[in-house]
Amino acid sequence: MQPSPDELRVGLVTDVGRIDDGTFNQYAYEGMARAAQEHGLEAEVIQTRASAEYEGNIRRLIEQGCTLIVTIGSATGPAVERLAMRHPSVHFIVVDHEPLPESHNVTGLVFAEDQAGFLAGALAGLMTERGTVGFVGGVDVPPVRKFMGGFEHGLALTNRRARVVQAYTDSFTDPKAGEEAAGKLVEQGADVVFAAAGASGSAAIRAAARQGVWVVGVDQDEWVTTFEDGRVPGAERLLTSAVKRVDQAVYTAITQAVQGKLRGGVLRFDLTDGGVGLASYHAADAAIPSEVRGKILEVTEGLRTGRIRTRVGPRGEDLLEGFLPRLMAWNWQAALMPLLAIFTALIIGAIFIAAFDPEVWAAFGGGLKAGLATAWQSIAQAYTALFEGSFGSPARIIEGFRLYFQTEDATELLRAVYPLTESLRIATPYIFAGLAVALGFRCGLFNIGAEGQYFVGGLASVYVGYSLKGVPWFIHLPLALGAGMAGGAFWSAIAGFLKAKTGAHEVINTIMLNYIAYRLADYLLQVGGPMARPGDFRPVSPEIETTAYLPQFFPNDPSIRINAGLLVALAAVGVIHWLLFKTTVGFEIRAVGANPRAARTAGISVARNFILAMAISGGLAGLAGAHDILGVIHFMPNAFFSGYGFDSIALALLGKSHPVGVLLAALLFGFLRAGAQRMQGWAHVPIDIISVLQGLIIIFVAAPEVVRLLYRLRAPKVEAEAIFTRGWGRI
Amino acid sequence: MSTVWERIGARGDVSARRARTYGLIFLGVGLLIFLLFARGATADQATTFVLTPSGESQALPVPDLSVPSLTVLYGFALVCVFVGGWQLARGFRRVNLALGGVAVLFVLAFLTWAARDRSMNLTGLLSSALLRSVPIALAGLSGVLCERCAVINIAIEGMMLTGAFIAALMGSVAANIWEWPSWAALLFGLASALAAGALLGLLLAVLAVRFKVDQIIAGTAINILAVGITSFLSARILAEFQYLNNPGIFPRFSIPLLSKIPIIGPVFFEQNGLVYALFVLLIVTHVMLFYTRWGLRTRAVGEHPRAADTLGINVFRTRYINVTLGGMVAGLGGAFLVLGSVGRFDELMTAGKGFIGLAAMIFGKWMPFGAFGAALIFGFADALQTKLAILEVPIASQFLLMAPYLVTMVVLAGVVGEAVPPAADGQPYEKQ
Repeated sequence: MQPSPDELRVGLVTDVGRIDDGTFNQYAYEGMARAAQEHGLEAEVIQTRASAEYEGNIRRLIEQGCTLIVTIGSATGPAVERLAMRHPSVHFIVVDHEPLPESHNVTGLVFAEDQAGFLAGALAGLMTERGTVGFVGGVDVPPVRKFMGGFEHGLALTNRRARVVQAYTDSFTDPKAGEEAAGKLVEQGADVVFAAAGASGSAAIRAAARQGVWVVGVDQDEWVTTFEDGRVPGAERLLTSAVKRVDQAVYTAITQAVQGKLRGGVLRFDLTDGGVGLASYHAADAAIPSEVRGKILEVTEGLRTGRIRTRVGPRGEDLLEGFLPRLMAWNWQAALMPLLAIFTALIIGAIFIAAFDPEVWAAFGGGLKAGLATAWQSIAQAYTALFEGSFGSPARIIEGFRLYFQTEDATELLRAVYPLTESLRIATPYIFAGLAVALGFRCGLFNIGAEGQYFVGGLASVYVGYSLKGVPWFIHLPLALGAGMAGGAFWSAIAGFLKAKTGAHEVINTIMLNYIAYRLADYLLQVGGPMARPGDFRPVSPEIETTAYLPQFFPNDPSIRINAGLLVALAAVGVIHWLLFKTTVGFEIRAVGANPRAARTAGISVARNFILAMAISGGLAGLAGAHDILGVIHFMPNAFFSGYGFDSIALALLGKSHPVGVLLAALLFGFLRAGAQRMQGWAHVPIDIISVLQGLIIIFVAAPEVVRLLYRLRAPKVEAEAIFTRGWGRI
Repeated sequence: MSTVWERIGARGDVSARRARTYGLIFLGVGLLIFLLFARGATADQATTFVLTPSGESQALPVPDLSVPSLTVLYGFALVCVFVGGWQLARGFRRVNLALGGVAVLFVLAFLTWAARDRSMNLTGLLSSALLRSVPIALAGLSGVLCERCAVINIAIEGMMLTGAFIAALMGSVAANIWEWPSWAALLFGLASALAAGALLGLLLAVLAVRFKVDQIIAGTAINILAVGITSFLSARILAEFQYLNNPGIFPRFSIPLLSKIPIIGPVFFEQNGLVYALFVLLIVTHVMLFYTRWGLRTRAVGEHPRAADTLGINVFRTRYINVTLGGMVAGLGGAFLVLGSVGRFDELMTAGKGFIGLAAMIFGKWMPFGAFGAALIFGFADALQTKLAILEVPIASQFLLMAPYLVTMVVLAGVVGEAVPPAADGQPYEKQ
């Protein structure tokens, strides 16, 4: 809902500087003034003197009743985002800022600086005689990077041999630094200098122009501002300026707001709408050959129609064109690391299998060669069993298909793919449990108690499953699933609550809750206990009603236990992904996880998110339990040790706490576990080898440096730091 | 002669609201004793506490203590109510002490009620409580060593499990294959367990210090690894060769004179060598930590590694050494489970003792003797649970088995007051 024009009050907070200083401040003010006059709005202006004042100034405007506030410069972005969250009824327009996807009341005005820079570069390439052009940058922020990137690529278009020398002033205001930078560049042989550094850059081109090299201005037509309509010496050396029409953008945005059309997000301005471009040539007009002018017009047209692209990304990074270069630039290492971790773990596991096989010991007694052969055989046998146990025997599957096409009898085929379905079936609870831990990690919580939550979830779902009778399946099944989720959520919310309210560490508490859950199940299911099957001598619950069964994919062959739970799990992956990355709830959870102190400062309740994240996490683990009860065993046995607690941690780590990553990791573990059962049966390798593999995988994934050392890989330049847990819960 | 501060302190070291809560808790406990226990007893019932341990003992015999159940229960309830009233009206200067006293009264009331018309061996109960608290105390001590230099060791469980396995295996190998005398085999098993613990401690240190892996994740990985390796090898080796899982146990011996003290003597000084090792370790660690240069350095690294580094203390080396030592202590805890009590290795035999040890460490405010005291409480809860099963108390045993875990959670929730970990706990140190 946009307020109607007559109650719209517009406020403007400048970047450091005044509204008549010839930079953005002035142009944004002019744009606002024009809009205010045309639409009859009241306008307030606060001029910022130091960058620490942004937040206070914006707040003053809010207090004065402004419902539309324009701020200038990416530096104001964080302050705006903070206040925007607290004042949802105020709309913010920020020049040069890409708003967070979560803030619905912030509009960023973003310009295609790369296009303006590209044109300047093309012109520079045509005008340079010595083949060296200079670039003066202010602070290393996206707009400056985009100018630079476009400049470079534009230069390469018209002059392949020319090179760019650059200097940064680290300031948008310091004229001294600009002059020094210009001097340095001219010394390095630059005969065209393009400066994108605010007032500092203006000083730079003034100095460079005095030394007789060509200069290109930025942001505004610097003929008018910096060279005072040609009165300043050196004005004739100004080729043109790469202009950003901030005034027009601000005017457009305010007009849209008045019309009620302004949405949160980004408004982009580029060549097509005249938001950026080159200013006129002024005094240099005579010195520019007509074919150069023609070429620039051609490039402008190319950029406008999209025939020419600047190959600069939204943050000023170089974009690569074509499939192959993009493929080469892809971060292979990041994708490779988990694979290498798994591979290394499998190798060490192989050594382990061979080293502790009594047959291998015996064979080594008969000589080294025999020993090695037996060791190899032992490993091959184990891993073949692992493979066939998880995917099925390829020969049998082909045979099954052949029979199916010949006779349309699927029995053999189903039997051949049985291991595959079993792997998927085992992977299903892993998906839930892995998501549970991953979600906790995202909030900085280490939910090590998936096991207990799985248990309680199983108890709750089995109770609903057998105690409700005569209910249609479309009510019974969701109820039973919901009960499982609620049970797990309740169990983990205890730990979340204790963490939020007392700071008791969730690692210890969830483990304690695990043991309590075992005892609870013990008590409930013991012969004659409250949830025991009447008249049975085993400690098991009654069978659940068939209406609560998760439907199987192959109801004709009940031994194939894969069921609709897999679909629920896949849906959960989607839902959690959406929740984490597309909703405010998810944003808050991630904010608390990334930096609880900062999140609290931004007005996010850390305690609430701890409890919430823990509850969602437990709910997912509870669903894992519900799946196993409703989809596979259909009752609750007492001795029900699942091992999900530790497995799920490995899953979350391996999947880098990303839902899709967790899905892949869960599939891997499902296949491993299904295969390991076969390995135990055939090759007599204890199934605990899986725990060894998991431990190793966690170590290698958590310490990529170890893997890099092993394989002599170079460290990537920047690696995002993943935060998982923090100490004993002190924030 | 009371200063302002003392008068504020008179309300306890806590806020007025918290002080009032304590008072209400004390009153509630008194009421509980009355409702749960006193009403379940009749006037003619008597409870007998046996104060001399059964079996051989050097202790001077002490006559059994026989008390009328009902009177004692009423007395306990009244004392609790009085303490609560006093707390509400005047406030205790050391409210935690009062809390401890009330807790002890509650437990005694419970015992009096549970053993009415019967007799209960109190010394035996305490002795078994001590025995059960030893692995927890060792785990806690391991935690203290690591966390005092700011490395969180969640892998104690895995280190204990590995220590237990190695102790069983190597002790058996020495005893049954090499046919060493039993004392040598036991010591060899013990030394191997220490070495295994040290190795895992070193692994944790390398991951945490050298590779700066999140310490809790590194610890979890070691735990999983330990579970996997010990279960795998146990299935591969111990299950097939039974004689490799039979190292024997350390014999009990009495310490002259000290063991003659009534009650305390048989509880503390008629145990096996590993229990005495714990006592020695506790004293040594406490003295080292608080009265030597090494201890000062360790604590400095734990509180402010940058400052310590500036003063020329090698932060990395300190952490390597301490975490390795911590691993050894955890290995000792594992060895105790095998060589000091059960005499064989079972899969997953630590059953969360490493984690309970961590809770004991927090409860004990990162002090060696604090951790030991907390471990005694956990051990007592554990020992009580078995005793009560014998006494046929009408409470499902599962709920009693939950008790230690519930106690841990309550303790962690900070009923006993805020515990402050070393300031840099859990943070990897980056040299500048």
